[in-house]
Amino acid sequence: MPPRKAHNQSPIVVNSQSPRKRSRSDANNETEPETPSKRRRDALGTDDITNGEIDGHQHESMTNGFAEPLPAEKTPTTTPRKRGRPPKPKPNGDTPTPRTAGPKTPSKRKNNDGEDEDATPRRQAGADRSARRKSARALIESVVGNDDSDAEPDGIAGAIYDSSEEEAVEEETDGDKTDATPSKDTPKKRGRKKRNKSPTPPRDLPSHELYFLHNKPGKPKTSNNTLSALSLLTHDEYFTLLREQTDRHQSQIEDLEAFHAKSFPQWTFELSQGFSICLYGYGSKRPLLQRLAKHLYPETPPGKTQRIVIVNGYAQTTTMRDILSTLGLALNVRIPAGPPPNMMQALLASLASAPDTILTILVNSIDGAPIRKATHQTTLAQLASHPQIRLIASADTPDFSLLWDIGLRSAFNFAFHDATTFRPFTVELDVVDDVHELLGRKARRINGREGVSFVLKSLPENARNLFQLLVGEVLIAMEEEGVGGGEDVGVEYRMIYNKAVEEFICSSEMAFRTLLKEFHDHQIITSRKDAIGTELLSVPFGKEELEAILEDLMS
Amino acid sequence: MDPEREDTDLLAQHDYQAAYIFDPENGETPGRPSKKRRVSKQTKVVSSTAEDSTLGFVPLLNGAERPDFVKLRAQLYRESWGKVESRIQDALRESNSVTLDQVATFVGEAKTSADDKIPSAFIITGSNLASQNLLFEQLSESLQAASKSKFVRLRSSEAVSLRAMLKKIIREVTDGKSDSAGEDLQMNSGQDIRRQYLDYDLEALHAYIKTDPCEHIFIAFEDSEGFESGLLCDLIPLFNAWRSRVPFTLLFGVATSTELLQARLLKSVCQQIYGAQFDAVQSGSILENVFKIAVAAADVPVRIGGPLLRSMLERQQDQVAGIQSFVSSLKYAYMCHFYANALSPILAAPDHGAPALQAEHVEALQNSSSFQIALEKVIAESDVSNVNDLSAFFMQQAANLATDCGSRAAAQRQTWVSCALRGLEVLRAVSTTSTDFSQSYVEMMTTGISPADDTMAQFTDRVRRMDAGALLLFIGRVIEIYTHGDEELKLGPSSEAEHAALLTKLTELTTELTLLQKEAETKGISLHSKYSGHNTTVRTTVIRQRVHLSKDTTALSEEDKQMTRIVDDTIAAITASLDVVPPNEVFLAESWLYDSKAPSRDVFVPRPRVVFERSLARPSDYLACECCTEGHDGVQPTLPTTSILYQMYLETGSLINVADLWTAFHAAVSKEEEDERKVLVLFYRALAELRALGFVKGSKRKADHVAKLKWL
Repeated sequence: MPPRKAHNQSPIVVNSQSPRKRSRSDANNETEPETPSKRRRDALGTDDITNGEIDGHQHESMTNGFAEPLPAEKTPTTTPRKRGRPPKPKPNGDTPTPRTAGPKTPSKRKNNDGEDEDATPRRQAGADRSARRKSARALIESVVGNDDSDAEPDGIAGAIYDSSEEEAVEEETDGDKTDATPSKDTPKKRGRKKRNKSPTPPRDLPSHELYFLHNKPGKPKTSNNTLSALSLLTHDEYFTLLREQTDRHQSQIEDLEAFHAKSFPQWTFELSQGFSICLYGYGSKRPLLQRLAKHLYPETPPGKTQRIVIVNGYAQTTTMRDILSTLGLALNVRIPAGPPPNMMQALLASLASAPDTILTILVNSIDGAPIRKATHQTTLAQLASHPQIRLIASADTPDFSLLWDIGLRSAFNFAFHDATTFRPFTVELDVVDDVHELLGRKARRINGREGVSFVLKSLPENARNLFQLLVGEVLIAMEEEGVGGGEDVGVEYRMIYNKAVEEFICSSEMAFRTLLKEFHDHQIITSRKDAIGTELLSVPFGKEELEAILEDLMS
Repeated sequence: MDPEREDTDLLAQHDYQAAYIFDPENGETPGRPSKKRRVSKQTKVVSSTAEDSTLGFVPLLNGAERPDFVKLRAQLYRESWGKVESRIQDALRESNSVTLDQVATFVGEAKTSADDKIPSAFIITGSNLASQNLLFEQLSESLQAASKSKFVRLRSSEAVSLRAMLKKIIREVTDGKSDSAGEDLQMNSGQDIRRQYLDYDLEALHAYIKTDPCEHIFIAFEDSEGFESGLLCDLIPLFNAWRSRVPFTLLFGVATSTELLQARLLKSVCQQIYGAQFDAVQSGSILENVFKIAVAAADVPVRIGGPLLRSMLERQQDQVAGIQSFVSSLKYAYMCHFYANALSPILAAPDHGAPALQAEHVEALQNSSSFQIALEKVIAESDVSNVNDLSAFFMQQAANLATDCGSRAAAQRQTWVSCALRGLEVLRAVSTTSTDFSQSYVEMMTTGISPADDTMAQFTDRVRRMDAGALLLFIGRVIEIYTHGDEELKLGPSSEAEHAALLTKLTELTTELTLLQKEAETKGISLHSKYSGHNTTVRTTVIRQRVHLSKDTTALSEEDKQMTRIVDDTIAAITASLDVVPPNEVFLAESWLYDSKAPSRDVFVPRPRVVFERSLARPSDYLACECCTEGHDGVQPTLPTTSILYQMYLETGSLINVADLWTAFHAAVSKEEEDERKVLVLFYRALAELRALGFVKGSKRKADHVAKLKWL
């Protein structure tokens, strides 16, 4: 262990070292067990006998801490004992650490692996912890008693401390085995609780292990890059460029579909035997179903008439009512619109009166959002179990089978077939809107800031003033909330109303509401209720955009 | 106009409609010519089989199969499955009949004896929702047949609120759909009445009952555990309050126990219930029953192989799939057998007046493994030393074997089935453990029964330990198995020659044993064989302070010796007849044995996650393209874009920075595509697809971040 300063030096020096080093250097140094004891004091907020000693060392460590960039940010996330504190520190706050509560921790935690460290105590059983804490305290006391002794921790206290340490390490290494732990190659160390996480995650972990690896507590470590530099696509641009593009796998995709089409006779047979068919796999199966419909169309069993209805489960506007009334039309019956159960009965009645008719229903995206609801699936299952109805469905997501419980499943009587097509979802998805929604930029629809100014131009002076007020307040709120930004920043309705009255924008709540309604209609504001029911208003734009809008309004 | 273009036009009209009627002929005219061609092609097939359709069967043997055989296969499928299916349906109906009768009796009596309480039948159905469905269907049928009544079935998924339930009940009762056609008047009156009241007012029901009196209105809560207890607590007193005017009777399907249900209800509600509990037949015993008549019976047209059966049974247990799913799997096996196996009609061909086999058939069956086993046997038996042309000899033998193979195979199948089932029964006759019939059948189907088997060793052991009385009983049972067969398994008396020999031998032994027994009785001694352990004693001697244990066999009496001989003879005789080869070694077993696990598994237990994972991680498996196959590290730019993004996705943590993702994506794809905006289009599309597949969702934790949702 060459790089150590000195074995018997005061803990101050030790604290300035990196965790790995320290863990080694402290092997014989009795100051090591202070971590738990400190934690305890954080929790209780009391002063120990050891206070004097540790206080001295804490000052040093703090100076060390300040030398590091942004020590404050790391503090709160690392110490589990301090959960009571506000979760989000002010990013630009001048006071990095609350000096009163547990000031010595930051210096220890200023290292990069803050998260790992706090994972350990959380995992430990409470009983273990308290025993360990007591023993640790005993150890410290003995250390304080004879400062320079570098004897091994003795007695029961030492044993408890050691053993729990051991366990902790074991637990950790169990968590992700492949991680190269520095503590592993230094078998006798007591300070090996701190462990450097290797920068690249271990490869080829089973998925459940990966899940836990990725969902460790603590802040996710992603960069702060944003897409602000990139001008996002508009619908027009997207479709223009899309039309120019050709897929290099086009011919293979065609082949794949032709391959699936070879199964049509088999599927027809299965349908005729009372099975429903469910096609799953990656890619849009709409063209395939269309082709299947064409195949089925002439293949009517002798003595029967067949009607084919295609349902688009992905279409945003799809309702059960539409589907049922279309099914009725296919039987040349006009089913009066009503609640679906009523329509269902009317449909079944008309089916019963035409026993030679076979109704074939092809459902595109049976797991599409509009018909995902349990009631819709029940209705479909009811249809599928009718002897005169044949059902073919396609499912696009990998989780479609969770839609049905065993009752529905046996009503559907599905035969599943892998029909991976690799076709793009051209109709099923509204790509541009979907991506923008994913990124939290819904308002692109009205063309951002130009759209807003266009809308505002057509509104009276009052409305413009109110919007200016609102934007200003939202911006202030964003400043206060910090980095996050986006649409989740809201301002209280009541507060805005009061300000609006103060500034003579409106005189009554009625008038205020009317103005807001206008904004709502143009989708330039949103409102929601928070957990305790306060109504919050917000403007669905990013910070930069809001600033620009505000500038426009001021000028 | 190329068809592709036309397709997309046709699609575009209806893309965003909720639903539309597919009618290509009313589309644009360019669609017609190709359509007509297809129709004409189709009519050829359809017209030729006007009476008995081919069910969409396609010619096998590389398309060389003659239509006669295609038709025959379809016909055979219909006949075979029809037979088995009707048998299963009967059994299912039968199985619940006891419960149904009990419930009907209770309902009849409770009407008078319930006083001011509401009669309720609690039917313990077990955990299987799917089989509940059948039970309630039958209940509805039988109760409505027994008395003039209405039956309303409620499922918890439909029960959103009290009002919705009442609406449903009133609608179902007044619509009177159970009444036969021609009662339009009735229906109208029901609707008229409904119009006068709010649609959740039970008064409407009362008014309806006045016009059309009925004895009971049954309200069945199919899955009572699923209902909110508050809802039940509201409904039950309500029904009870109306009971003087509307004759409600409640039925509860209970998956767990009535105690649990009771614990969920208010005490005051429980006091209003006049209830009785009924146990429906558990699905396990129904399954055994169905298994015997539909899978194991001697006359089933298609035998299902051991591994497939095992997986079907496992599914029953592991996935709590209902009996319906077992029947479905069985049906699917039949479908596969007749749809895809060109040899399937060979056995039945002579009976159905089919023409002689095609050359392709002969070729196919000569390649089957059971045929080759038979051929090897023939050749081993014949003397090849003085044959000049060996290959010609082989061809000759093969041709001999192939001629008239249908009837021979049928005969061999019958022999095998008879031997195998009887063997199984004999083994089960001595078995003391209560293994399910299905389990032992599956074992027999997998490995056959051979004298070297473990089960055979156990068998011998058990028989040896029997005393004279038990042995006599056992021999009697064996004789019965061979002379009368088994009712449930549709097994008739055996007609095999070797069985006759066995029977005479066994009869002899019986007489001998009876005589011996009488003799022993008169002498006042008990009979033991040398295996029974009565005649050995352990002797302990101490020699020079050491203990010596020695076994001592007392001399067997004359009777005991005779007894031993009888036991040995019995075992030898039965064991000789118990040699059953595995079914796939029987001559042309391919034509009546179906044993492939894969189709059934793929069709009924899909693994969509695996499929998605594979298609996204290794698209070349599906696309068979050259550009993506060579496996080097890193992401290949030629992959489908969603695949590329998916592979990057795999390497991310739980929170993904889209800006960084875009940078990486751009770096990967820009090798192929220069224009940044075009790459962005691809990126958009891939990201939208990942979202639609449920891999990511928006996140508000950081700007321009998305959250990972799946760890496949």
